[in-house]
Amino acid sequence: MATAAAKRYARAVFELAQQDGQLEQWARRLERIRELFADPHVAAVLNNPTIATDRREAFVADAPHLFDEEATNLARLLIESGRIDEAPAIEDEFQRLADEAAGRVRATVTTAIELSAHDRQRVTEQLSTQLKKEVRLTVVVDPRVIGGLRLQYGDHVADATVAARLEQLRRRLAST
Amino acid sequence: MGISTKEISEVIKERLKDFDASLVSADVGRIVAVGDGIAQIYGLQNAMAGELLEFPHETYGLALNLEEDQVRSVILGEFGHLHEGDEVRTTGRLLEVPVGDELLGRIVNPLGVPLDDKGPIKTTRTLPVEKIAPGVITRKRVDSPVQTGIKAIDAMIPIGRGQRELIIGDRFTGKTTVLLDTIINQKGKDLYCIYVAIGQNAASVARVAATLEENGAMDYTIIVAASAADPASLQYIAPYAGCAMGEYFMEKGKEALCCYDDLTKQAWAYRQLSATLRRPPGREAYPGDVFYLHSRLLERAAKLNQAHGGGSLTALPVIETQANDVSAFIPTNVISITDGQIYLQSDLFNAGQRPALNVGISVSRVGGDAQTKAMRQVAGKLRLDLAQYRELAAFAQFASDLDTATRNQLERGARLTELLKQDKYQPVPLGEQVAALYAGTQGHLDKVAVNRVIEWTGGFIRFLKSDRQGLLEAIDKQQALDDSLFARLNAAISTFNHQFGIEGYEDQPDPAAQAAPAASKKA
Repeated sequence: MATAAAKRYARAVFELAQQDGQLEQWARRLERIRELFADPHVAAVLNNPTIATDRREAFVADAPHLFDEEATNLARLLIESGRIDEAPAIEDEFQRLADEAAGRVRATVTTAIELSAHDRQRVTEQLSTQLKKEVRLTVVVDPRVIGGLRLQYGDHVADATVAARLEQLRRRLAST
Repeated sequence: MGISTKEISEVIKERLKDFDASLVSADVGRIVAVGDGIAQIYGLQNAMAGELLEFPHETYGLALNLEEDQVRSVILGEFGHLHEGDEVRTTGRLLEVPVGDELLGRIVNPLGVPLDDKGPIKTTRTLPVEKIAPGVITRKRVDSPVQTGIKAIDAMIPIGRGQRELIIGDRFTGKTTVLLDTIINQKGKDLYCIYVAIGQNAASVARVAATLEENGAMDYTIIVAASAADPASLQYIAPYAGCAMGEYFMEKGKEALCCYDDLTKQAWAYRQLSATLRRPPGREAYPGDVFYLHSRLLERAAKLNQAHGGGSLTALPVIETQANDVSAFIPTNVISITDGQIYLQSDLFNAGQRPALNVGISVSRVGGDAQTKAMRQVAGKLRLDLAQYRELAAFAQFASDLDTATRNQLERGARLTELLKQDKYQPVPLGEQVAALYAGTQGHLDKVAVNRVIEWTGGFIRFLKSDRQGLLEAIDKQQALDDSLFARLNAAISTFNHQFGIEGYEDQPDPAAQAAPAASKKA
């Protein structure tokens, strides 16, 4: 869930990226920042208030092999303002803004067995004709759905799995 | 029980055959935080205000706060098994409760789940818990009475069918007793009763149920109970659920009575929910919409016109005051919403005046039209007499010698006050009330010692039943007193007073008894 702060950072980064035409590059930068900050050892040091802020910033600034210049600046800003925990939320919100700008929808399809490339293609095409938007499909394999498929995009879910049907049946029988 | 496994499997087969699972299509969100009966859900962009939300493990909730990218919801029932990250779905429905005749005689929770040991309830219909009150066009003037069986109320603060009459008083002043007397008095009267217990301890609910059962009143009564141990969400919806069950009868053209015992506790539960939902607190920490909480509930009481079935729903809300303070926030709100209030006072209660009704400040704003004619004929003077009595009594405490008129007034008032006392769970039928009050207001009790008035009343009613048969029934039936009934009453009072040993009265035979043999001789 994006906090108000994360939204503000994400919007600033997004507007900058759009201005420079660097959406893809910024997406990669945010991903790298998130990955680095997710390391508990790194986070422990960067969140430690007993270490002076400029020394903490120096960890990132003095390691040019980690990030390029823009990413380093963002990372320093986050360290300085004590927002390193917001990194994943900033990345999510940035993705959302980028998707929205490009008219893309991210969808997740859950099935019991791996979908074939052909089926995946069919689901993507069906959904994009229905929503009239480009669809980026993520595939999740979860044996608990037993059969059928479950499609989720945005806040919406269309559930046609055997597990959901069995649940409906269970309720029908239990209600008498 | 002779159910074979074969029969069961037949039923299951039948159900499986026409089972047509549909594709589930819903909005989903995820729980971000859960606690205090509140869930914070991320997502659910399209959730509606007041929509029923489905949590895992057949738990349901109500969407109450819709915010930019999250929804705050109250959880109906237990929430210990819900975790952060659980999926929540919209249902597209409002909260509904089962309704129907099948609920009569049962104790249920606010979701309609039975709490007694009488097995499942096979209702076929449900009604939404929150509903817009009937509009002006569908309504009719309140024109028929709810007989409470309590002399003081029926005579001076009459309640009409479709009215909202508040019962207000401190703890332990007999508020619940007024409700129970009223319910017990509806035996055989086509008035269905719903008793909603909110935030009471389970023992009190059990006691109420036992009292109603003993008096044979459960046959036409539903008890909706959200006890003190239930989550605040259930205490909050309990009156609405009870009201929906009453509306079912009203919509079918029948008459129903809803007792909400008590709305103070519901306001407390709502205050708790609002605080945990982070709504801004106002006066006494209640949220800004606490007035609407009660007004939308009580507005659903109505008398429908003939074109809409002619049913009615009467509301008897209860408010508990602290140290007789009626100017606190919730009491003033509910007083202003209702069509009158019955005010019970602890000092009257402790002085032995039971029901401990303060007739001076209790009023009924619409019920007067609905009072039966017989009662209006005898009780018209009662209110005035008692009002004057109270004024003089306060004044006369300091005066040593009083003129005769004042002393007579005081004597009369003391006897009338005594006449209005009655035991709990013993409602008095209309005929008996009229006969006793007639004797009192006409001054036939003035020579009876004050401490013998209760004895006199009991004896008089017994006398009427044994020696003047048909008189009480005639008053009950005609609901008005004509000359012949007045004559019979006067004769009966005179005879009984003579037997009671009061000077100036003599035996008078029943005028109707003289007419009857003459008529039979002719025939």
